[in-house]
Amino acid sequence: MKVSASFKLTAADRPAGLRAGEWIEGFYPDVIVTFGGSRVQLECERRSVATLELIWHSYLANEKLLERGAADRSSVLQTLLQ
Amino acid sequence: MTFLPLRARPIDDGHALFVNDAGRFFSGSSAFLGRLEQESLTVEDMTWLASEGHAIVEGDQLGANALAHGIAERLTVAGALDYLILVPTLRCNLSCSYCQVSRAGLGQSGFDWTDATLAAVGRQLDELTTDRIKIEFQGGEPTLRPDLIKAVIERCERFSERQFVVCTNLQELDDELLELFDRADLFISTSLDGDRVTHGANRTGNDADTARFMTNLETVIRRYGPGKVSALPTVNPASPPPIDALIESYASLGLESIFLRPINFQGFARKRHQDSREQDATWRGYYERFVRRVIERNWEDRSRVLEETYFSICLRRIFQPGRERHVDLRNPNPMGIDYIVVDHDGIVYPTDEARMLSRTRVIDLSIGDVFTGWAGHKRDRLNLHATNQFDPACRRCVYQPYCGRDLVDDLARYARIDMPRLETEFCRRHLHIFDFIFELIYSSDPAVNYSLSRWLRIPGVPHAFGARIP
Repeated sequence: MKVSASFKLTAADRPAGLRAGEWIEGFYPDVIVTFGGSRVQLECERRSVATLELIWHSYLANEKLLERGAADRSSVLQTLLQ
Repeated sequence: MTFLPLRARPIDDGHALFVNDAGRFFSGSSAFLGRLEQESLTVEDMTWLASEGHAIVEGDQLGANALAHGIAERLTVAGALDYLILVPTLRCNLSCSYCQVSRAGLGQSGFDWTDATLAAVGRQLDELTTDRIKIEFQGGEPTLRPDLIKAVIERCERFSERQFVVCTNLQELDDELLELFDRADLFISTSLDGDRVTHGANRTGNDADTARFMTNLETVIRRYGPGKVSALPTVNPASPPPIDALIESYASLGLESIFLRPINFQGFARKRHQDSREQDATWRGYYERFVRRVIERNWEDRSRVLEETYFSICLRRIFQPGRERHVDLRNPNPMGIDYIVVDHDGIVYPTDEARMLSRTRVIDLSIGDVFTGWAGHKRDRLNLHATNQFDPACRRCVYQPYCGRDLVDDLARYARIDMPRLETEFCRRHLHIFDFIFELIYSSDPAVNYSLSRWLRIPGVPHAFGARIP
């Protein structure tokens, strides 16, 4: 039985959300991500709605953290190279 | 602005796992995940994250240095060469269906080291700069040439710390070999695919040879104790043996570590076991049931501790950075620096799998030879790509700090090194095993916690293996 969960995507979150959708399909080949208007839907056959929610919020958070932390991560790597 | 060097991934108990770039981790509720994603963390959240090294406030140089130190601790820095896999002969007295190196027949000529090769290996050993040495004798069947094994060992007497491993099928065992095996610095590694029927079907092909192997295995275990002898099963995922039968075949011999390996997509296996290129959910399910059964047995009988070797290696990668030198799971994974493989013809390879790929003419991954050296352009080109640090998928993966990079495995399976990481067997295998490990780390089952503690070699059982944030 197909299970799906739908999430609102604000304009501000849209770039990170689009990237998150791509990576979710990579990390979870059984999950299909569809974007439509200001919403995104995750669909799969063998996971619960709660898990789909966790997946979406985890990978959206990852994209935001990756973007916000890019400069700091570079700085830490520079420290290691010195 | 505060730097949160974190990545997230759901785990099976309805929480998300958070791991920072240095590999420190905690479990968070969906409410915490929401606050993190919405950038609305509470003061309590931030205080806790900062105290645990997960948040670095702008200007906090100590925190930044601590994070850098934690990352550095997990990165491999290859030292001087001190680990050699030597193949004194490619000849073998068995012909296993999944032989990884396409062995040569027992009577064939031209597949043993020549005097010149032995002399060149000796010169290379003399030039090593370390005080310690580990040498693994592989094959073919290396015990067909005990004279070469002895000659190498004699050449290593100058090293203060020595370890030799003879990887043998134990089909033959005579007084000369036993005298060699009597050395305290020599260990025996063999293959045991399960009970007699399974082992016979996979390897020896007849009852008499199987019986001889079992007798020889029992002889060396009786003579030296199980601490000196290790055995590995190769499992056909299409027809894996019953779990209890496989465990019992090891436990009954006093062997406590079982490295559950599916057929490697190398050598003869590329033709005869083509489905071994990728493992599917069936294998992963078998693997999980196997580990869970080992946990049950450890709990039922606490006089001994059984383990699945690779699970323990991955577990220690999480909790004990820098201690595990398993070459298939390190990052970066420098090749041809601190360990090499010397084939029967003196050709040098960065790994044993690289030797196999070259033997089967998939790709020539030789990096030199013992006569002229191997520190050249080919090695350097491989090493340019031997890290998971900058891969876009790995940068988004919570397990990146614990995971590795195996270029040769990618070449073996896909004939390229730039496959999208998430589509590789290496990545899928490790995503599965780390997901499984973290499910167990956050388990409340005392039997699970008992086994995890033993596999980590720590005294007692901790109150918890990982923090939780509500």
